[in-house]
Amino acid sequence: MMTKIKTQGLVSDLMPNIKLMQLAGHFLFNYHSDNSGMSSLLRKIYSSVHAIFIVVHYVCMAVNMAKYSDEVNELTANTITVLFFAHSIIKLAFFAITSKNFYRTLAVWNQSNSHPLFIESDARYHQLALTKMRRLLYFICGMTIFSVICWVTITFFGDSVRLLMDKETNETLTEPVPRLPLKAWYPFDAMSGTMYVVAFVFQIYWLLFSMAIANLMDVMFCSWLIFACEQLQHLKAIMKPLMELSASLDTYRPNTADLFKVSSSEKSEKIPDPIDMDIRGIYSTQQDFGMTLRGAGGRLQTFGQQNLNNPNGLSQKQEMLARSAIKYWVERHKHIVRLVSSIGDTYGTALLFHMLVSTITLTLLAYQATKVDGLNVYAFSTVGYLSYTLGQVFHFCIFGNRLIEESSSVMEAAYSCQWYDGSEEAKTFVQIVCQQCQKAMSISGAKFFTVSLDLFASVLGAVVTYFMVLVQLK
Amino acid sequence: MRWRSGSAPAARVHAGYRVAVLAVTSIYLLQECVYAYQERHDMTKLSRVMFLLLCHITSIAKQIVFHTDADRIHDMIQSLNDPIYNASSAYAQSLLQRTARGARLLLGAYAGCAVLTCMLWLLFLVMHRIAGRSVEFPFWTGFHTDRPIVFVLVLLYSFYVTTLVGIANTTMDALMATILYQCQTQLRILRNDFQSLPEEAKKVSDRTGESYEAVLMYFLVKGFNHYKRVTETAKLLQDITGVTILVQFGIGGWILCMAAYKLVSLNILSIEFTSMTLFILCILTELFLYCYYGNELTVESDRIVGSVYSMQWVRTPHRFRRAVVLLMQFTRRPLRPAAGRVIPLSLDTFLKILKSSYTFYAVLRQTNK
Repeated sequence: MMTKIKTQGLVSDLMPNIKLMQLAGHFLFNYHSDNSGMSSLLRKIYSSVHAIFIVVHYVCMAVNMAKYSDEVNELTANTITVLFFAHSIIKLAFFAITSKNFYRTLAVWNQSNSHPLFIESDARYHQLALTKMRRLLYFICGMTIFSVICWVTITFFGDSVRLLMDKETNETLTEPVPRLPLKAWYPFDAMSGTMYVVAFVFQIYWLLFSMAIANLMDVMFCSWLIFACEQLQHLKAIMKPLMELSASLDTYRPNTADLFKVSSSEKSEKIPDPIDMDIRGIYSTQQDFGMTLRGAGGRLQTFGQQNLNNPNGLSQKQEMLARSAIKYWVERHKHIVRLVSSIGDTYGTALLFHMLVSTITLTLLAYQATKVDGLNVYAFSTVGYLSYTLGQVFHFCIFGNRLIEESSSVMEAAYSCQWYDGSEEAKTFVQIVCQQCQKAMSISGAKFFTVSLDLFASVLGAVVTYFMVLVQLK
Repeated sequence: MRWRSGSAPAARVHAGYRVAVLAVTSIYLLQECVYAYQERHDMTKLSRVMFLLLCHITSIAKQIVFHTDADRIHDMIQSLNDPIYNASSAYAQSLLQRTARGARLLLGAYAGCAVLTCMLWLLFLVMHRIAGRSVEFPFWTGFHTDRPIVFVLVLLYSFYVTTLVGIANTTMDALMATILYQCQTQLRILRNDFQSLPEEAKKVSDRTGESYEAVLMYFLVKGFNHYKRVTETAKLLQDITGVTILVQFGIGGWILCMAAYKLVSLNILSIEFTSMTLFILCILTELFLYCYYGNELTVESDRIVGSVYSMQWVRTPHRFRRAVVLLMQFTRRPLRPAAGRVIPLSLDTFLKILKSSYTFYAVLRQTNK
């Protein structure tokens, strides 16, 4: 049965990301155009096989860590690697368990309201959001592939040894191990020959896929935040025309026709009446006064189907447009609030786990960094781990911070437009919106912490502190 | 707490029983203090008595508060039967039932854990004695406990007091946590009411014929009064229990560190290890309960403004919208229950206590190597 599912809203924007996640082996089974029983079974098998490979190899690495835990340096290095890839396992399991929440968040923006006068602005910011999301995706994919290449390259430098503790003499011995990117326990001998090549290729696959699994989920989270931020930008941009529209309902203002001008590329029957433009041409001296008078002062006599109560001579259609503009703004803002709370519910716990594992990893890395004694493989790998882990934390902190800033700057946009000229309805609208926007929208990690650059600064500060203290203690 | 139902003689007997219990626990605490002073140079024996001693200090602090503020606590509990807290809508009733179930589960599990820990301690002492080894009680007794009769009596006394303190501690904690949970539930009901306020008002106005604006204002005022009552209850709870929770937090980190110090010196497969682990779990749960429910209350009260905003206020009358602005202004500050008005009950505090207790423990191990 071939059913073409028409993708809309966030799903169509994030389609490349979703397809990549499906390719990497996440348990993402929606959003396919072909939903027959055979292909969905094949997809389930594909994901399960990937999951089994990843988990089994991870367990082999953990066994290796447990087996050679006598020597402190060896244990620390193995623990860091195991924790590093714990992210992938956690994210894979998290998505499999809470995929309903992800589908719900992706479906939040399926039906959005629209207003003829603001379609152009909406489309423009939507396009901006799309561009940014694509760019982020390409950047993160590039960084992942670059990291894998660096990892594989660095395998060929330095000694491929394992450190052991001699129990009698308390000395550190070295034992040769296969020259592979990751140290893991294998049931077969991987020192040389075909098994070595097999292990090497498998490890490259494993590195690429486990890093992709973790990073792609983070990219999806950040893409949602980008979308929310651009929608807030759209609302900020239309605040000024909104105020002018509402002012035109009961205050005389020149150039009213400009407000109702819709972009010529959009099909719309709400074109401004030609009589407005004639009057504007005749009575252009009104602009020179620079005064907007309420009520009868300076009112133009208009005839025909114009609304006599309206100082600007708006037609019925135009008046309706002006009145419904505020409703459009408020409903769109509530929609964004719903989207952000859905994002927080979906991804908060994953962020908590991420920060927990990253904190322990960074503490151990600070200890490892004190033992760097020159420009060698050890130094490069420590710096590589450090920058990758800090980079992951920075990735979602910067977008969380942007959301906080955008949502609290809506109030500034409201203040900087001419709210005093607006109608009574517009003024109470501004009041209520300002009350709501005083508390910025933020993403919290399961209520333990808020995702912002403050969090990143505190993590970075803690790492530097540990490093300084440990260097002193040496 | 007072015995309110039943006859006057029963109330007097209960009052006498309460005083007796307080006296017994205070005597036990003094005995432990004497023992601790005697053994102050021996770290292993000191740690064995310290964690229980600290636990008893917090329990006595709570008991004293419950004695002196018994009236206010009783009023607070009675006030939960108010009609404003027992809305009749389906959503409210289902939430209240869920809260009640959760509270019962919490009490059962928590008190059960405490009793289990005490029984395991008893078992351990008995087995130790049966194996022929001499048993030293972690409190000053003033006479030798080697004779079987004396041993059994002292053992029973020790078991009775520790179990009593354990149950008292856990039930008092569960009570305070449940009141915080109830406040959170009430705020959730309130938020739900705010979100659908204009629609409900329209239905009522169509049904009764009153003006839409009057019904809107009536519902708004009702919601605001509900909010004020919840704030008052939370504030009353904070007033009554602020100092005890502060003592709990202050001593909690210390207890954890002492218990952990004792734990690492035990064999993993012994009964004592299991009972110590259970004890540490109890203490952690105690701290976590306050912090978790306090945090939930703060988060819930933070969301009220959002709920008021998400109602359909765009087409409502002018006077109502002005009132909505004021309502959002008044409900903007989140409720932050605090221990002793200084330390907020939040998950952040919980993490800070864990971190400082680990620091104490690490320092202790370093200095006693």
